Amino acid sequence: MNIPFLSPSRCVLLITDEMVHVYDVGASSVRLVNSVSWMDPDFEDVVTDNIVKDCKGKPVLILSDMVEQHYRMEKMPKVSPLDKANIIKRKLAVAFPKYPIRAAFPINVKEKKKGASGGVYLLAAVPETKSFRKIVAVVKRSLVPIVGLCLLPIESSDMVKTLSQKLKKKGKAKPARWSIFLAQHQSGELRQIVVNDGNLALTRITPIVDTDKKPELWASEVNQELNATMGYLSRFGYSQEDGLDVIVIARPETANRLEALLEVPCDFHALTLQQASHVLGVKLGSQDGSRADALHTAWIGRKSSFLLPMQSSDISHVRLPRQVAAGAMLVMLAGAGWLSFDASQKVQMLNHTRDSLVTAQNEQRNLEQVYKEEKERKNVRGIDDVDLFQNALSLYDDIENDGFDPLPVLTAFANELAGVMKVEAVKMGVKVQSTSGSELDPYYVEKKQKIFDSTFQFMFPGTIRVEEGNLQMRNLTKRMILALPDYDVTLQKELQDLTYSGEFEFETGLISEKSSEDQYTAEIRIRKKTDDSNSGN
Amino acid sequence: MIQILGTKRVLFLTVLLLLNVGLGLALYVHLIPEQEKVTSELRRTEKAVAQKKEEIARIKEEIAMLRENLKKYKILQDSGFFGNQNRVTAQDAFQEIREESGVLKAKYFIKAAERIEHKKAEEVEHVLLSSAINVDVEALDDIDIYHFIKLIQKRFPGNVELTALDVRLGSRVNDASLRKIANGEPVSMVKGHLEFNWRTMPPENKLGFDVFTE
Repeated sequence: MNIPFLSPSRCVLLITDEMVHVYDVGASSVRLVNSVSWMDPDFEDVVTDNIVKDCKGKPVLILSDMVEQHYRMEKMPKVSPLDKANIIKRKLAVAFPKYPIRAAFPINVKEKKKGASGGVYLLAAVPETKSFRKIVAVVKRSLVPIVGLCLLPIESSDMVKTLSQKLKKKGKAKPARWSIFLAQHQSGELRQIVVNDGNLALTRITPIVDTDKKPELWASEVNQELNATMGYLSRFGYSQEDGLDVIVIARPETANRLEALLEVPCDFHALTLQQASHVLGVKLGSQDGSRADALHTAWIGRKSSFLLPMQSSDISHVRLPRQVAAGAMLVMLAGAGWLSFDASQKVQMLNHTRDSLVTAQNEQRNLEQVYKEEKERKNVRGIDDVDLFQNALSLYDDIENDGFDPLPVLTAFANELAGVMKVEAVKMGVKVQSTSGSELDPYYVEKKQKIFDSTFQFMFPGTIRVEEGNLQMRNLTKRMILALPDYDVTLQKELQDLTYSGEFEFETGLISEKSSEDQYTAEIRIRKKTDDSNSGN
Repeated sequence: MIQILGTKRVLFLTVLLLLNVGLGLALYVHLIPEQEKVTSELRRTEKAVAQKKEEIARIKEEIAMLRENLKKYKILQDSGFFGNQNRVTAQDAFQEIREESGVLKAKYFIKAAERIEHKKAEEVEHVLLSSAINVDVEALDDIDIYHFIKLIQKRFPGNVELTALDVRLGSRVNDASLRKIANGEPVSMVKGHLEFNWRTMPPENKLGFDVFTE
């Protein structure tokens, strides 16, 4: 079944022995544009005009419904696929040496021994008549693309098969193997297409009464032709058991007359043109009468591929360049479309990039100005080398306070001594120690520890009572602890140690008095530890 | 061929061919190279913009830092922190400081300067010089010695840190010393030993070989 909106739109030239029927086949209708006799002196002009103007230059399909069509079934030898084409070509040449327009296609025929041969082929040929040359000349002149040349009975055989399948009576176990399709054409001739198992078995075209206005006469002549066909069928292996469908395109009253006359045992189906098109699912549009050309044309004209496209050098000579040109046009149109799309995208992107560039350049200019102003602002401060500035200050911070300031401790002593006691000697110093830690510890950071250490020595006259001097020193130490809370203040040496731990020498009895020249010394030690992590190295 | 295809179709094909060639040329010869050129220029400009922003941010930071530390830096400059520890300058400074402090006698010994490795100095092509100074002083009162220390820390060129101090009473007050004091003669009552560490950061290219040993 064809899908209407995807069906090809074509101009079909239905060629018969008397004339050419020009059909415009669209997606939803079939229109007979003109029927032109081969004898018409203006034949070429008229048909060309019909193709170009009336059919709007649609691709042309030449459909032969002429009497002279030659068919033969041939069994092919079993050969390799590569040689098959040559063998078929040779068989065609041998079968139809006088007919240059020929073709072959495989058909499904039951063989006695399966796989013994290369298959059965239906060979077909038509003569290269004057009419044919005329129609080719017209197509050449019209400059429209050529779809090809086909034979109506072959291309309609699948239509007969489809009709037969769809008309199968309900409850019937198996479909009939034989179908005969009978229909009168515009030329007035009766075309019979006999299909066996879906393959074309026989076709006949015979003149009958031109009109069906006298149903009895029409039915009688059709019945006569059907009987003649049945006579041929027995030679093709027909038997009653195979089953037979007879399908007739006719008005109901004439069909009824024909059915009454039938002697052949068969399933008789009479359809009008519209009924047949409805069963087949092809749209014909409005059609008058019961001539079946339009049905064949609609069925074949909308095919996307043909059963047996005939090979002709004349047609190929025109068809191939036009097909190539059409393909090239399509490719170039697609190419132009794609290039235009891509170019428009690139132009948009280029414009966008240019806009971004302009914005960035403006920003760059503004930033240059800001930078210039900031630099001037910096230069106003008189520093050229900022790195030197930073590093010098940082280095100074690192090394500053490596020593010590004696003033806090000295001031504290000055306040606490209050002129009563006198310092004999002062010793101050500082040393830097590195903290100990494991080098294997990845988190260990070496710290430097600065230790301030000072000793203040006091002198006491020898006349002083030792207990009193020691008491003064202890009191001074206490005051210094309070005055220097951040320092470690200890009384390192008393005048004399009067506890059990001290050595003690004492005289009693006749002893000389202590002289003022004799002296006691005492010492206070003051220390402070500070962490200094500003090593800088 | 024209007979088979027709003039119109041939013309149409030619026009299509020319259109394709034209569009192809416009696309591949002009648009794409131009796009690449402009994109490349945009990337360069954006990179320059980013770089300039960083420079501006850095210069702003520098200005802020300058504003905060300029005074300190000027003091460093004025204090002779960038000097090369010229011994003559040191001699003049000691003389001046001793006179002002009231110290009766100062005997100083400046050891040869050492070049201390310091990353921050090396980064700006400067060196850190360190000289140990030992001073033996004599004074009437220990206050003069402490004044001497303060003046050295304040006036001496560069950074000077006191690392050791040893002050003790030299002699007792007796009749002889009292007579000398009464006659206006200088009498040394207190003696001291001071140790300083003198450091400066001169430019590497302005070092004199006579001012340090490695």
